[in-house]
Amino acid sequence: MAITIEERVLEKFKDKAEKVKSLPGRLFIDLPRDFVKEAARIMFDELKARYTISVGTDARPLHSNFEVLHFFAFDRDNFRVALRFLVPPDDPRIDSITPIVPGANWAEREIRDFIGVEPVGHPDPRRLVLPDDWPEGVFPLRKEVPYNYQPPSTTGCEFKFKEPPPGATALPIGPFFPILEEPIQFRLFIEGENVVGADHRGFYVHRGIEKLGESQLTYNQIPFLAERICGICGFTHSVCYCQSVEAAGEIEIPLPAKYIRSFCLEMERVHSHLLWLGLACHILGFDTLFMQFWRIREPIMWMAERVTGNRKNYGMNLVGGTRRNIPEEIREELLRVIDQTETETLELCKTLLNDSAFIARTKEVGILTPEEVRLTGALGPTARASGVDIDVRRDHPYAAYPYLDFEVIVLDGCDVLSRALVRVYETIESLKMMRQILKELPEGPTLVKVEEELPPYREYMSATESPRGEDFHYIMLGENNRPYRWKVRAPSYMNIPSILWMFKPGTTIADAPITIGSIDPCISCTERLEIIDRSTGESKFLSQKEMYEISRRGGRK
Amino acid sequence: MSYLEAGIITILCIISAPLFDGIMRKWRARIHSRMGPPIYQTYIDLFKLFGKEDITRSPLAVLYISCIASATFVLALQGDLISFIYLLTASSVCLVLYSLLMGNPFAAAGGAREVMMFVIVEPVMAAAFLSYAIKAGSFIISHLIVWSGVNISTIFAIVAMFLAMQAQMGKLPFDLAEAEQELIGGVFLEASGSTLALFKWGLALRQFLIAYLIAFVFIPWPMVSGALLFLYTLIKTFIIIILAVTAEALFPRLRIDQALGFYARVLIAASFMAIAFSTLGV
Repeated sequence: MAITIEERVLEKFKDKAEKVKSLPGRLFIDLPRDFVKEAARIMFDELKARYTISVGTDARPLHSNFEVLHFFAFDRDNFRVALRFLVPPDDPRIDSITPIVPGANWAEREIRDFIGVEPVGHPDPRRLVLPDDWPEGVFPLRKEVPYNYQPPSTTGCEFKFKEPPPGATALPIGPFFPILEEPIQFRLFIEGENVVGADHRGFYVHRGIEKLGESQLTYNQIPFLAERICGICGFTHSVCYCQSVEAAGEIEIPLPAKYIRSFCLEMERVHSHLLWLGLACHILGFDTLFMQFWRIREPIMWMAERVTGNRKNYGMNLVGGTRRNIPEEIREELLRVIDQTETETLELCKTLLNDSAFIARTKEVGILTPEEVRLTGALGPTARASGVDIDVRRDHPYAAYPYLDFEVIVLDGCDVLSRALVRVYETIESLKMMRQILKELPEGPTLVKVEEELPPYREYMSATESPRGEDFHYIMLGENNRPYRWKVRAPSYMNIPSILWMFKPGTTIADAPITIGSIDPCISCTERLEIIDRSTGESKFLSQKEMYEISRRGGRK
Repeated sequence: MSYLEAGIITILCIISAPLFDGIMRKWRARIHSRMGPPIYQTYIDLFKLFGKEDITRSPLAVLYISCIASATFVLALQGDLISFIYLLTASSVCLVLYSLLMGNPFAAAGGAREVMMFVIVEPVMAAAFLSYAIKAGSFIISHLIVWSGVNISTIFAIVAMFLAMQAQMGKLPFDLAEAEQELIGGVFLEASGSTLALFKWGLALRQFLIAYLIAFVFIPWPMVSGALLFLYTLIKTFIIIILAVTAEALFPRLRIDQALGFYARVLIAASFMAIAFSTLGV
C-alpha cells in the first residue's frame, strides 16, 4: 500500500514533534520554536505543500504561551497540516519564514501587529494592519484588550513608503481611484510610461471582525457578521465559518442543506464573475459592455432575492444547516432565469472575445508564472489562469460538490486575458451546476438543532472556493457559546500581494489598472465598520433610525 | 463671407457646442442601455461649475477656449488654412502647458500623452488638408471647398480625416490624455470650478468644430450658400457626431504605443497617399 501523505509528513517531523493531533484530513503538529524555518522549508520546498496562511493566537489563558500556526495544504490529497509553535510571552519572537515562503509576508506582519510576536529576519517589517497612530505595545487580538478599546489619536506618525528608484517618479494609484471600489494604495514607480517598481499599502478600513466574533457574538450570530465580511462574496464566508464550527463540533448537516449551500455559492459566483467582467471592461474604457454585463447580471440578483429574500446578504446559514429550502413552485422560474443568463452570457462573451482591441489590451499583460503562483500563494482564477490546477470544490470537497458534475477550468496563458477566460467558462460551469442542483435537490429538513454546548478548545480549519479563490477559516471553539479564536483568510489576502509580482518590466501605466483589476481584488474581505470621526477621534455606532435619516438627507450636512 | 456673418456663426457654434455634447451623452447612454441625462445636461454642468470654487485658476483655460473659438471663426470666415491649424494646435499646447504646470504626476502623464498624440495626429489632419490645398493651389479654405470633387485623393483624405477625428475629439479609443480609469482625468485632473468649466466647454466646442470641419470642408456637398449652407452643415455635423459616439462605444481604450502605431499606419496609408494622388492630379 502506498504511504499516505500523513505518514510522509509525520516521517519528516518524527524527531522534533512535541505533540501530534490527527483529525480526519487534518493534522496539527507542535514543534519547537527554533525549528520553524527548517519546518517551513521541509513543507514548502521538499513536500511541495501549498502555503495557506499563518495564524497567531493569544493562548496565554490556556497554557501561558502565544501560539503561531503555519498552515499548509496538500491539494491533491485533500489534506491540511498545521505547524504549531509555542512562543513564550517574555520573549515574543519567532524566526520569519517569509524568506522561504514569500506568501507569508502579510500574515507574519499581521501576527506582529495583532498578537505581538516579532518575526525575526522579516524582509519588510513595516506595520501592515494597524493605523499609523496606534500606540506601540497594544496588541488588539490579545485577550486583555477590550473589543471597543480606543487609543487617543496622535499626529506626526506616517507610513513609510519605499523610496522610488533614482530617476523614477512615484504615482499613487489609490487610496481612492476610479477603478478601485474600496481604499487601497498601489504606489507605482514610473519612468515615462513604464512601471519600474511598486509598493503597496492597504488596510485603511480594518474593521476588527475577528475580535468581535471572539469577544461579543455567539456561534449563531457570527454567520450574520461573516456574511458581511465581503460586499460581493459574503455567503462563501458564512458557509466557511459554519463548516468549520460544524466540523469542530462534529455536527453532520442534512443533505438538502448541503445542496442549498452549493446553490447559493454558485449563484454568488455567477453574479460575482459577471460583475467582474463588467468592471474589467470599464477599466479598459469599454463602458458599453460594462453596462451590458451588469444588465444580464440583474436576473441573477433577482433570483437571489427570490430564493433567499435578499439580493446580496442571503442570511441562509446557521451552524447546523440552512434556514430555508428552495420552494418547489419557484424552481421552474429559476431554471428559466438560468437558461436566459447562460444564453446572454455566451453572446456577450463572444462579442468581448471577438474584439481585437480587448485582446490587444489583455494578452500578455500582467504575467504571473506558475512558480510565482506557488511562491505568493495566489488562488482561484488567478492561479488557474497560470496553469495551477487548484480548486477547493474538487480538491477538498464540501457542501454538495461531491455529487455535482463540473469541470475545473485551467488555462496556461498566465495573463489578464486568461484570467478573464477562466471567469467566463466558470460562469457557464456554475450555471450548469445550479441547474443540476435544482433538479436533484432532495426533500427534507434543512437544519439540525444544536442542543448541547459545543466542546471548548477543539480546532478545525475549513475552506470554500469563493469566486476569487480559496476562502479559509480556522476556528478554535471556546467557552460562553463563542469561538476562542476565529481566523478569516479571504483569497484576496493572498492575491493582492501577487499584483506586485505582475508588474514586470515593460508594464506601462495603462496596463496597471487592468493588472490590479485582473485578480478581482476584494479589499473588504481582506480587511475584515465602525465609523470613526477623525476630528474628534470618537467612534460611534449609528442606529437604524440615524442611518435612515442620513440617507434621507442624501449625505448633505 | 463677411466678418459679421462669421462672427454670428462662431457665436452660434460656441453656444450650441454643449447641446451637441448633451446629444452625444444621450446617444452613448442609449447604446449602453441606460436612460442617460437630458440633452441639456451639459449646460447645467457648466452653470454649476462656474459657481464652484476655483483652486487652480489659470489663464491657460481662457486661452484654450479662445484658441478654439478663434479657429471656429477662421473656419466660418473660410479664411486661411494655416492659421486654422495653428490655432487648433495652440489649444492643445495650452492644455499640455496647464497639465505640466500643475505638478501632479497624473496630470503630467496625461500631458505627455497629449503631446505624443498630437505630434502624430496633427500631421494626419494636416496632410489631408494639404491634399485638398494642392488641388486647389491655395491655402484659403473657401478655395478648397470650391475645388473639391470626388476623386481618389479626396477619398483618401476623407478617410484619413475620419480616422483622425476620434483622437482630435479626445474620444475613445484615443482619450488617452484624459483616461479616467488610468489617469483620473489626466490633463483635467487638477482643474476645478470655472477653469474646469472653460476646459469642458472648450473641449465640447473642439469636438463640435472637428465634426463641423469635416462636414464643411471635406464633405461640402450639396453645394449651397447662405443660411441653407449653415443648416446643411449642422445636419451633417450632427450625423458625424453620432458616428463618432457610436465608434467610441464600440472600442476599449488603446495603450499609447498601440494608438501611436495605429496613427503611424494611418499617416502612411491614407494621408501620404492622399497627398501623392493629389500631386498626380487624381
